[in-house]
Amino acid sequence: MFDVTTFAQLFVTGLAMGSIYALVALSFALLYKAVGILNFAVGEFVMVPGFISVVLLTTLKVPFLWAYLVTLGLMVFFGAVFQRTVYHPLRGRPFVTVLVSTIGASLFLRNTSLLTFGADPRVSPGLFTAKTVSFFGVFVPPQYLLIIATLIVLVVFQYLLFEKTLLGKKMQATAQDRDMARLLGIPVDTIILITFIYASLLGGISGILLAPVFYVTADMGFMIALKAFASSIAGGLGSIPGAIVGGLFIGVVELFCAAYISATYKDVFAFVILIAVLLLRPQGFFGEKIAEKA
Amino acid sequence: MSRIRTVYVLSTVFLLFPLLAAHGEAQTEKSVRIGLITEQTGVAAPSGERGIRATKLAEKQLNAAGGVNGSRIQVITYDNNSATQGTVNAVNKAIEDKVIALSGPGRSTHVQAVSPIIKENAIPALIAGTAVQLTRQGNPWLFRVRPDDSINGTAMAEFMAKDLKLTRIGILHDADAFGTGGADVVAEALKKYSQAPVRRERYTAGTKDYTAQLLNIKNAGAEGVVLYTTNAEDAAIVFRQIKELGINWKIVGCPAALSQVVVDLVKDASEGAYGAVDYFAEASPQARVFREGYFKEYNQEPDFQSAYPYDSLMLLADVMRRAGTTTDRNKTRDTILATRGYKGAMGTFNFTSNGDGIHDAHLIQMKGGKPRFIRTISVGQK
Amino acid sequence: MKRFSLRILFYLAAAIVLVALPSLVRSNYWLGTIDLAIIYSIAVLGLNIVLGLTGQLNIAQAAFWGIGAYTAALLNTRLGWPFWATLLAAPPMAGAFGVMLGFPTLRLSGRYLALATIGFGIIINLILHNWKEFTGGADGIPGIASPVLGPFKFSTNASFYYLGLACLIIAALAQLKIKNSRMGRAFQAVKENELAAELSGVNAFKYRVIAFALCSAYGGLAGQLFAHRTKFVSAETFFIDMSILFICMLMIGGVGSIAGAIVGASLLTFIPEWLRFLQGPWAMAIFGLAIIFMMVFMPDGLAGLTRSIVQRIAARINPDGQEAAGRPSSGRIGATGEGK
Repeated sequence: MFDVTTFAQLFVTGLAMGSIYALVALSFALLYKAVGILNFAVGEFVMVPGFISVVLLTTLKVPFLWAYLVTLGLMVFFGAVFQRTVYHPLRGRPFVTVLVSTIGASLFLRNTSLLTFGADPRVSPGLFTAKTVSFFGVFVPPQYLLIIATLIVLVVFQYLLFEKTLLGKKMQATAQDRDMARLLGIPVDTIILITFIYASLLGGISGILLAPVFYVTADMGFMIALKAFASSIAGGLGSIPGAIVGGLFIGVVELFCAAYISATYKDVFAFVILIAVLLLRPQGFFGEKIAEKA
Repeated sequence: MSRIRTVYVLSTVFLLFPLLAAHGEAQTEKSVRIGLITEQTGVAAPSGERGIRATKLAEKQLNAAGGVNGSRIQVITYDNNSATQGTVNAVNKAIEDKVIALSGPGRSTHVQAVSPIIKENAIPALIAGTAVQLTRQGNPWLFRVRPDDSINGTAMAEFMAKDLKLTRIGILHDADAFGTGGADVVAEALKKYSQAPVRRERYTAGTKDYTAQLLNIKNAGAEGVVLYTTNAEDAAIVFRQIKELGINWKIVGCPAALSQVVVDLVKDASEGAYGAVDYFAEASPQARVFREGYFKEYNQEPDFQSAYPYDSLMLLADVMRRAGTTTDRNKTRDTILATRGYKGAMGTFNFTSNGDGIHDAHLIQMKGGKPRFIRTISVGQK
Repeated sequence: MKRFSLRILFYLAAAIVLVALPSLVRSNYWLGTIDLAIIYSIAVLGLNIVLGLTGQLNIAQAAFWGIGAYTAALLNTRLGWPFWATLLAAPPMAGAFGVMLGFPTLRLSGRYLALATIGFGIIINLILHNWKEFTGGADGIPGIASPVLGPFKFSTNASFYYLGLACLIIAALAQLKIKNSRMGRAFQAVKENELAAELSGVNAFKYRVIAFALCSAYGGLAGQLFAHRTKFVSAETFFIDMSILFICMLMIGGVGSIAGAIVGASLLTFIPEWLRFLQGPWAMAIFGLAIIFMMVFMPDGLAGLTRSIVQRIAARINPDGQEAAGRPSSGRIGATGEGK
């Protein structure tokens, strides 16, 4: 059982799952960093594009590239609407208020999805016809490789965006100190809107990647959101690289714990890690030292 | 601001609503009301939807044929939000609305939660939870329209040991009551063949990845695996991952593992898998007729999650015809228990004194995306 | 004095309505819903201590609710303890778990604490669900007995209502007492400005842990009542979605307000039932929208809304700005319009 093949199998699968967690955690952490909110509807940021891509690909038989582009386009719209309705009227209010608002949004989205798309789980066709690729006895579905690759590309893209472009720098400035940013002439409200749209796009990418391997249902967002929280915390709430590392870490570790310790309690491990991190190193892997009081 | 005032007025009205709402709905004299307790929202909405469709179909067919004893059948659907407490609320509402019988709940924990209420109100309920103890706890108002876990589990074990001649069997099951109970039954039944499962692995519903569990079973040297899964998406992922990991097991699934939803999702990943199913379209003329009617109405292939609600309503109608009256509960109860040889889509109903109606499991194998009948195993009747 | 007798009259009327409620409502189904609202109110009251008074976000209240319920269930079915005994045992047990969670985590700041409580709640739920030997696992624990007092059995929704109402009133009054006590003021101080509080000699950490213990004890009480009422407990009921719902109830009712907690809990228990006629997903979708709507338009919840209306009515009656006799917020447990 402790052979290399099993180990490698678990590792690759863990990385793939972890990449999904990382993407979603990224969306979550971004909104936390930029506007200080805990977005409890982040799971639905993944579910909605999942369904959209499924419908485009299966019912409307749109070719892959167009389907993905349209889905992402709709997610831009989604992010904007979300920001305007769920966050904007509540900006400046205590974060618990916004939290509850996102909960309402989550409930609304889950059930309208049920009404629109029906209750049956859906699967979308994948880009790859080959079911698995095999390296030295390790079976990897190509989609998993795509997920990991996408994460890498996205990380590079995001680094370039934040560090090398003016827009990215403005986003960072707004996140660090909103009032200062405003004084410097940065259109803070617009930047916040753009941040929401970007977070929504991250969800869109996750949804598109997930749909061929895991079945899309109206309630899938819940568990995904929880894992995203755990990943964000593990990596350091508010830290962008932290969200990514946290996600990968949780993805791999929970799978190993499931295999070698106990599979039933697999979900527990993610949260035990979360609590352990909070107790031993609250700032996570990458966060700055945090004050004791909120 | 007048806006706040409006909101305040609205809220006050909301708060007073319960007093106003206590008057209930208008009763149609000539209709027989049946309460369907099911999942319209929440994680189990997929299976709930199939049940609703089937029940509505039965309602339509019954009313088209003149109803029961001159009265129309009226099915009222009560959503339980896939939750235990929701089921309690739903059943209470149904009783309040003066339904004469309940169809559902369909899940063991839900049935367990409402069992005291059903007993107190002496209302017949056609349940589909398969945990064995449900009909052995002294509630005379529960009537089961599916084979309980002991039947399916025993049939599966027998099939694996005798027909497939396997000696090293693994079990993968959902950690909930259904999965755990089923796994226990299989493990117990295997003892008869001097076997014990080589590995038992469980998972919580909604798990997206089973690599760990599957590898553990594989490394324990299993040649076959029993799947006791509750939710369709979970079963679908398991089938797919077994294939992806390149594992060559003989798979025998519980009824939920090879439901139509699962088969539609996994397509060829379930090829060659065996299963014990409650409902099989080719098992009897009634099953075939039901399937045709359902497919014609909804353009969807039915499975047991449609079959048993259909049978529930049809059976209730038949019982009421035989009992003559439609409001005497005790008479309804006695007539249900006296049912012998009623041919439904699920099979032949012969009720035992504790309220179990069906004792058959049909063994099938998936070939070319379609189930192919192997044989029926009848398990212990009293 | 006019003010005095008006208030007395109001309380009397409220008391009569509350006592006569079962005969007024009649419907067993609605009484059952009211019973549930009472149980939820107690849980939400607990949350009010932590979120309203001390300003900490606890997203694990359902876990404590569950611990209380399972404690009662186990003591009753395995050891034969009657309702009155489990009533004394469940809240402290839940409180102990509250301390267990609180001790390591309460040094963390708000958002981190919130996420830690999420983790705790999930772990508790999974343990309840999977530890078959002890908790019955997925099957749950059936056969919990109804409360019995001498020859009288509290087995109907109506009879249980009185029991639940009594517990709710005691719980609310206790919280009122706490709020106005030295401890309550310490909670407030910690919430407003922890540094200043510490400088004044208030041990912030200690009070946070106490608040957490009280919150979980309330949750445990709600759980014990729930167990004896529904006579069956299973882990799936005590999951994070209920914790989230409790928070919504408090926010909508008005965080910091005792009446608000009760109104919020009741409203969110009734709304899904009122919306039942809408069939399934429509009801839940509208419910979700309603929550957003209420957060946007009523940020201080219904209690805050009522307070501002009362203040404006008072200002109109008494333009000198003196406090006039206004109708207490929701008429349930007395005037709690003071202090957030």
